[in-house]
Amino acid sequence: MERKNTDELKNHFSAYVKQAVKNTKGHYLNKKCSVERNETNYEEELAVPGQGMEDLLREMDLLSDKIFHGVVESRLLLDQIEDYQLFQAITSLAERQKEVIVLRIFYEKSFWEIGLIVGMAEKKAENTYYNAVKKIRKILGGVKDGV
Amino acid sequence: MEFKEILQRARGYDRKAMMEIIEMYRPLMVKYAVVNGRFDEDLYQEFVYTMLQCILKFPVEKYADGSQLGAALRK
Repeated sequence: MERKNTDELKNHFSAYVKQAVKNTKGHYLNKKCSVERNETNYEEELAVPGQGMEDLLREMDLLSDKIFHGVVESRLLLDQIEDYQLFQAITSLAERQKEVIVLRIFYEKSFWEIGLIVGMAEKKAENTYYNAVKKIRKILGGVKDGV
Repeated sequence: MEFKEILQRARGYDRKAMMEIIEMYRPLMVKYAVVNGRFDEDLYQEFVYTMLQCILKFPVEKYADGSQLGAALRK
């Protein structure tokens, strides 16, 4: 009787452990998957095949040089946008608005600097930016409800 | 030593008994720690942690059948 009881207990315990281990595995894999999904390896993403990090940095330097000569490589930067709707919305903007958006978002310039680069007053640059954002929001909002 | 005795000791934080139970279930843990044909060390460690939790949380009373075994484990 005693023997039977202890075997039974062991069986119950084994089943309990097995289920717990399965649950742990599920949680672990879910967590791992979500980490992999949300994690982006920047070095890998930036590195164009056949092009080292140094080339890339030089190119970036070149780009930031160009800005101060009044040239904004907006197309190159806008090509990085993966969301098709957002890309469409931004490309549908006026040239001026596009430049301001690119400078503000990709180059993280202040409105005063933007004004200097594009050749407009600080206040005007700010207004242009917010109008552009409003327009993008309107375009996206029309397709995706309320975003 | 009978299983119930080992479990009883393990629940009393007896390291040796805990290790014994973990050893007992090592094959099971190794089996489940294989992901895509590869042994995942981190997952295995998670399992060991789960095992310890199981030892402490296993509702003995529920399975002890109300016999003297249950009484012994409840002590």
